[in-house]
Amino acid sequence: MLKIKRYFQNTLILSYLGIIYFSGVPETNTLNFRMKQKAQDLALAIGINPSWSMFAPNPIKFDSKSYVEITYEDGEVELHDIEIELDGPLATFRKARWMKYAQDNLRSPTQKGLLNPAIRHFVAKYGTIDRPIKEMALKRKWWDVKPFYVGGIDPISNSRVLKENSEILLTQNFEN
Amino acid sequence: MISYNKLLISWDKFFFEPSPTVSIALFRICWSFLIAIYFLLDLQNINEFYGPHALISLQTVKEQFPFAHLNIFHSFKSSYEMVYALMTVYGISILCAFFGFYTRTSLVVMFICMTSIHQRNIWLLSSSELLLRTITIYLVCSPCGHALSIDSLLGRKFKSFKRPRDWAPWALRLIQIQISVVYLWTVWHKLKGNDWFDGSAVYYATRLESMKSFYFSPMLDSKLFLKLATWGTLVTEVALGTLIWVKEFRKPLIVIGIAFHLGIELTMSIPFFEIIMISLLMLYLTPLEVRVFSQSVIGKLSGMVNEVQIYPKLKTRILWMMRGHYVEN
Repeated sequence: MLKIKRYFQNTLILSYLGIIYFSGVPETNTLNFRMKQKAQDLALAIGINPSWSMFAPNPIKFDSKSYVEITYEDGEVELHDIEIELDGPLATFRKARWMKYAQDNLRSPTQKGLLNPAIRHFVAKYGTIDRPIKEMALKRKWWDVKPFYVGGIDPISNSRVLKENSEILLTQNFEN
Repeated sequence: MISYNKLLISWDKFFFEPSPTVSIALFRICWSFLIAIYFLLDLQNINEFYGPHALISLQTVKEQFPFAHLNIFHSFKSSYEMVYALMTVYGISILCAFFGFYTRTSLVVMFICMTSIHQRNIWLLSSSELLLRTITIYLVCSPCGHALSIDSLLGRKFKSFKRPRDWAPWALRLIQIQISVVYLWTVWHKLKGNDWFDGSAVYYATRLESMKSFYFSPMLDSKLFLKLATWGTLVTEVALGTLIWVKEFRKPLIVIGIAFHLGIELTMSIPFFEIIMISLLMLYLTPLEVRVFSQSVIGKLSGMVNEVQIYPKLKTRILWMMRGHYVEN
């Protein structure tokens, strides 16, 4: 019984090491090339995929914010920050989740599937029967960090803004 | 050349030589505490992220992830009752894991609840949540409830709770390997970019408003320091991924690693990740080192309890509970 248990544990350890190795290793030979995708899929499925690439390969060089711009049928236009204002002891941590959603994912070209659900959510949040929405746009603004090698660097305590850029992520019209 | 037999013996010694479970048990307490903070965080986010009117509907999650994944939200109709029921079970399981009551079962339940919460809205998550899930899987396989737990106290009275104090540390080893993988993986990816080579990466990372901390170190305005910090990060991460396995470097590297993560925590706002990494680095301490540390903390706490004016029998009981485990060992 003990032997079977040890055999099982050894298999588990070897499988783990194999998955970690092949999912991260460069495709320098046929074996690595063949095993890499399988190992990555498996690592993803069981949740041990090594994807700790913070600030890699390069740190991002801009600050980004996402907004929702609402045009009501009465002609009034409102601009709301998608990240809600938070306070309290866990505010910094709660804010991090909003930042991940609004600054990283909503703007990402690979996450276009998030835009329509976001519009649906904000229509329900900001629209009322008394005050119907005419048009809604998801917008993104970003500010570049001054390059390291051009002139002097930005002091850390200053606002590090070159110029404001903006783009529209999605617009939806609700007029009948 | 190492012979096959020697290799097998080394393998066996490394993964299976019985060692005291006190360090992994102490880690279980730290880990459950960290997950409890995440739990409190999620509790405040129910409306926006997990409820029936959440930012991303359950239907969208299904559309985006058509393949099989662990998420018990899919098994029920989306409602506040369901979310609160899940949160209640999640909270109880964290408490049980923290105090070590039915530890393994609690950890399994905690993992299922945590993963479901994570998979309900993965667009909010960062590397720290992935690390939480991964390490919790290893904890389930480990004997982390065999010491510093209600289970171990019950083991004195009930046979069914009795567990050996020494155990094969293979799950602990896998966690340690995982930590090395985290450091080496991040270095591998950093080396693909230019900013880590030319020394500008720390400048860009610290200039982001979203990452701004409450503390501004004047050193971060020096070009020379920024370059040294960039290259120093790479060197530290390589050392933490490799040299930490060498006996002579282990302790100094744990100290360097803690200082490194505290430095990031102080100068940048990256919630939790650094604290998680610091608690993981503690796993490289040997059970003996952990015991010496725990005993000194318990000794100081006992001294404090001794000085407090309370009912004598209660005081004796508290002191017994604090010291009892170590006396028996």
